[in-house]
Amino acid sequence: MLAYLARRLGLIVFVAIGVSTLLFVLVRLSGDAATLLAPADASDEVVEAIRVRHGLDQPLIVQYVNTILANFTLDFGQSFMFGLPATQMVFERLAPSLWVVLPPLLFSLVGALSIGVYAALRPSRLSGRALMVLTFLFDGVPYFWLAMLLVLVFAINMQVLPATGNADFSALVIPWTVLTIYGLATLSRLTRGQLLDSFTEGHVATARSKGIHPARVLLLHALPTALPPILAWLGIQFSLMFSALLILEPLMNYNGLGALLVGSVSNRDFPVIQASVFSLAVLITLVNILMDTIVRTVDPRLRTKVAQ
Amino acid sequence: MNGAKTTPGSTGSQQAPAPRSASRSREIMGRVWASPTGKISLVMIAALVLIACLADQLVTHNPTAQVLGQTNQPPSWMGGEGGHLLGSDPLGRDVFSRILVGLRLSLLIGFLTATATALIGLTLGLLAGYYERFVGGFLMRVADIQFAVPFAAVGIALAAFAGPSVVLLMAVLAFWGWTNYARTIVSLVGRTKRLDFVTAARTTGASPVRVLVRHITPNVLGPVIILWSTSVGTLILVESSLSLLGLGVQPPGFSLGSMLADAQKTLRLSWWAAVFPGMGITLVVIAFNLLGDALRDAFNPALGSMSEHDPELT
Repeated sequence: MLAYLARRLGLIVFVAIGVSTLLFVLVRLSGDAATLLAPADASDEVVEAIRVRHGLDQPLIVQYVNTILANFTLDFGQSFMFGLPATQMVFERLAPSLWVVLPPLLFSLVGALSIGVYAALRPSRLSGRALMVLTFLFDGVPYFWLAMLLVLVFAINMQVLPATGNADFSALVIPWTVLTIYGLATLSRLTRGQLLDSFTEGHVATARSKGIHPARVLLLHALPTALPPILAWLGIQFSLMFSALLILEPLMNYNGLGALLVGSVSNRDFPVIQASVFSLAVLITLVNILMDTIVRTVDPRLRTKVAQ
Repeated sequence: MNGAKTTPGSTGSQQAPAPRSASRSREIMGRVWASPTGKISLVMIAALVLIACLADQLVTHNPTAQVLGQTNQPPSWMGGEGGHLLGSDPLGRDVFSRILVGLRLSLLIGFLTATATALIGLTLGLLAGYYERFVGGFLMRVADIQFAVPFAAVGIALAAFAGPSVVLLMAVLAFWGWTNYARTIVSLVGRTKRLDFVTAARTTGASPVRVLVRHITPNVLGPVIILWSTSVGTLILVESSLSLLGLGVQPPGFSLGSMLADAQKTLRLSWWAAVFPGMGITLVVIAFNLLGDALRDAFNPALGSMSEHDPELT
């Protein structure tokens, strides 16, 4: 277990180097880094000063190593717009973003388990099929369009919810709803499929033939078998929802990491862009390692596979 | 590192390899057409493509003409003036005509990018599976890194450095999407190359390129085609979402996504300018998802319908 954890945590270092390299290449490909780093209206002297201060007059390989080392100490420099350390700004925006993403993750898990179990128990009945067709249709609805529709109905027409901002709890209702529906479609289809698979497994059939109550078979025998892939998918769903947040936050004027990143792009606030992309990548990797570790802990099948 | 490995079973055609032949593909298409989802999706896609091709003939108004006297007109069946079937936007342009023409660019973006991604993904997946040790190990680590970085973040950062450009965006999207294909086919390639007929080809002196193209590719095409089908819709969604941030199609060009972006700013004045293009995107995405589902069943008849087994493929 420890060796597994160590190997997975090594992946973070790998991801961090990879993302830093990607950003490094992006900046160097897009032209003179000193001009990018300077405010838009900077004079030649200022650009030169920036070039020297950031070591951009040094050989490329030295710059590269320095960038990687600085990124590992979470040092991305100061924001041009606000004069604050970029890392600090990112960390301040992280909590509001997690507050938008995590509850829908839980809601969609609970909802998907209910829908999936219901549909798996009635695989050939009309109600079970109708539910699956419904999730299929919802899978095609763009989440940003759904957000617009909800704003239109509840904020503009009925005026019961605010359209934008994150002043209070009510502003979270629309983003939470959108992300929950976004996660629900895939997760409930996965739940149904995994459950149907688990029904065919030997230990479930044995439990059934022993005359154990069907509800007990479902809860104690079939569901635990079906759960690990669902939990693993939650990690992927987390990164999908965070990507959606990059679009939703600016759309709804919500002050989180996504809005910070998009705002920094229009300000050409390079250190903040770098810091947010870097932190996002590390966060997503961490969450996925966490989910994989949970899966490995609860699923004895995976552990024995490793032992072999 | 996730789902694909932990979800058991079902990454496309895993039954005994079938020889490539015209009859095989005819059989697959026959099965797609025989299933209700397949029929619905093919009819939907054919209709969408037809509309996009004939858009110039079908429009009721000039899609780029700004009529100042007719801004924010509701749809004509709701009493709007100027005969705008789906209303007009804040610049007085006809929403219906713009949807028809915008659909063309959206579909084009989806088709081109999906095809480019599939070719890149197939090539890298073949290499990773054939040269498992070095190329495979390296490529799969790169895939792990890419997995941690949402494409939206890359697209946004790219626009910051290089300026918004839809062609550049499509190119990067095409290079970004290879991991889905590679992850899906890499183990299949590994299994196929150990089969007798491949060994036979190698011992008779076939070059690696010939082995990969003639003998292995036909056996991994199933998952690739399935992924291609669903990725058309996904890519149209990605372009639309980045359009909302002003990073997609730039004016005077417009896609369904960039129409949505324009309309979003004036949701209060003309909801129809946002609702109908969004419906268009939804239809396109559902059509290609349905096709992907029907293809999956056609390639792998043993599997149940509705693709609940592997969400990575949907």
